[in-house]
Amino acid sequence: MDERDFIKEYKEMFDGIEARKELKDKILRQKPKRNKFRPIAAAIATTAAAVVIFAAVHDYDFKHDDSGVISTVTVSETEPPEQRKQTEQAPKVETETDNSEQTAATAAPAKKTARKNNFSSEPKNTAAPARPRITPEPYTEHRESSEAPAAKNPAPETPPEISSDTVPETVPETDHDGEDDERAARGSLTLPFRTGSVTLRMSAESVLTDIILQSMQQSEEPDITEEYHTEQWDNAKYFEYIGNDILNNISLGSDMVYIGDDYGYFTVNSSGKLKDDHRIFVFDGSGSRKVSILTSRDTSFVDAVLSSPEIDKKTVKDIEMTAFGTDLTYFFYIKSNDIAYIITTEGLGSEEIAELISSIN
Amino acid sequence: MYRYTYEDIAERYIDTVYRLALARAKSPAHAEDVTQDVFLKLLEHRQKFESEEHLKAWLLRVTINCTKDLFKSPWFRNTDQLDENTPASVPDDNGLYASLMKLPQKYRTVIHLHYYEGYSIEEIASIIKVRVGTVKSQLSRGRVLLRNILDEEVN
Repeated sequence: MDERDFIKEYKEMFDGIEARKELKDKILRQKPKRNKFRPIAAAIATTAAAVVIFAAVHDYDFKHDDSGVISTVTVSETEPPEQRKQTEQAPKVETETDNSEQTAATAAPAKKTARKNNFSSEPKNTAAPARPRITPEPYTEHRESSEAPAAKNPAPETPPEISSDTVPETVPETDHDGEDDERAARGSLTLPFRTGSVTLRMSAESVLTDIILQSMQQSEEPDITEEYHTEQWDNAKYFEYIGNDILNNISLGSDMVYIGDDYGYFTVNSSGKLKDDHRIFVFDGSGSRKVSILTSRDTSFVDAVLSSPEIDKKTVKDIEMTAFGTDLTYFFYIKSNDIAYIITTEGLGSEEIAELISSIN
Repeated sequence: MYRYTYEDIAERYIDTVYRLALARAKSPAHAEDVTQDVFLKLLEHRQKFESEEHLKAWLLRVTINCTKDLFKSPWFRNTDQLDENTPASVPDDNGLYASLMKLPQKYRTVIHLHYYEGYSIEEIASIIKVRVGTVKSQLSRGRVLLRNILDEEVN
């Protein structure tokens, strides 16, 4: 058999080989694992990462109690990211694991002036698609508790038991006034919005953790009267649902590329109500620059964060926000036009962050 | 960046992945497992690709790695992995498939990527992460070995 005959026969042989229909159907139907705690788990994971990074950067001693007090010592964040050297960046936890090479971002580095990018894969369509709107009933109907969990005040410390042999007149309170400034200082972030600069003091991670744990403890009774089915919504349909075309409206650096999905799967009941309507939009940029934006019409979790008396909340142009994080990684809890946003930024400067947050509204 | 939907890519490349998996794993059942794993990895990891060719190369590379993982499994080692029965869907009047399955896996891989998928030696070297010279020699030896096996079959 010469080379030509071999190639011909080899091709004919394998052309006749196809995967079974059942396998094809199975593969087309398979989905990544999703669960209702994904946004909470994501919040916990990012918070844990931020805590580790923060501790590493600031040499934080975890053994000392975190009273949740916001520090009054502030460090302004004004340095643009381009001037920051790679070596100064905090260690990053790799979350992607695969056994093949990863595509390196080849986009140009971010320009100083952020500009709006069109991240959609289809030609820009300024007219909203004419689709039947899902019944816009309050999302909180799906939750067992329609009220946002009450902000938790830190429980007073239990004083040590006093034996009759030692009778001090007063029980000494645990005194943290003498703790190091490094431990107390969590920094702040000054965002130069067009309407004026706003300084956000970084809130304590313990606040977020408490709210997360409270949310997880809330059990959701199964809805036995409704029948649910799964629907695939493309981005256009989802943006119409939340009233914000994220990919077209937000402002990010030119190096940021949308690497998220073009659709989402939702559990919907016969009346058209969504059981869980969150989506996460992820953008990758040059170096370690990343942005993720979680959106939902369920604002209960963000409400809980924003209503906590222990956080530093600011309002800019009807955008309520608070932030956690370090000088490189920030987590913003934002409410705007009755939509909840949890935005994570890594490696972005304050100007870019201000542009991004402004573009949400 | 190349934008794609999972369904589009799955429909287009399920057979491509399955064929390579079968060429390496030899058993249709194992090839199906590998194929499913490959697309699950695509779904879960959402890689960025510069082009469709880049995506296809990624799929093939992951297929190769998944079949390697399969062979590392203790379960796989304990079973009779030499499934020399030709899958029912393979027309093998000349015994080419059966002869191909007698080759060592590394030769089957380069032969399949070169003669069926049409990749150059340099491209194959990039996909399977070996030197160009290694691919050349594997291809050459594979062809010689296959010719000998086929000649034996004929005789």
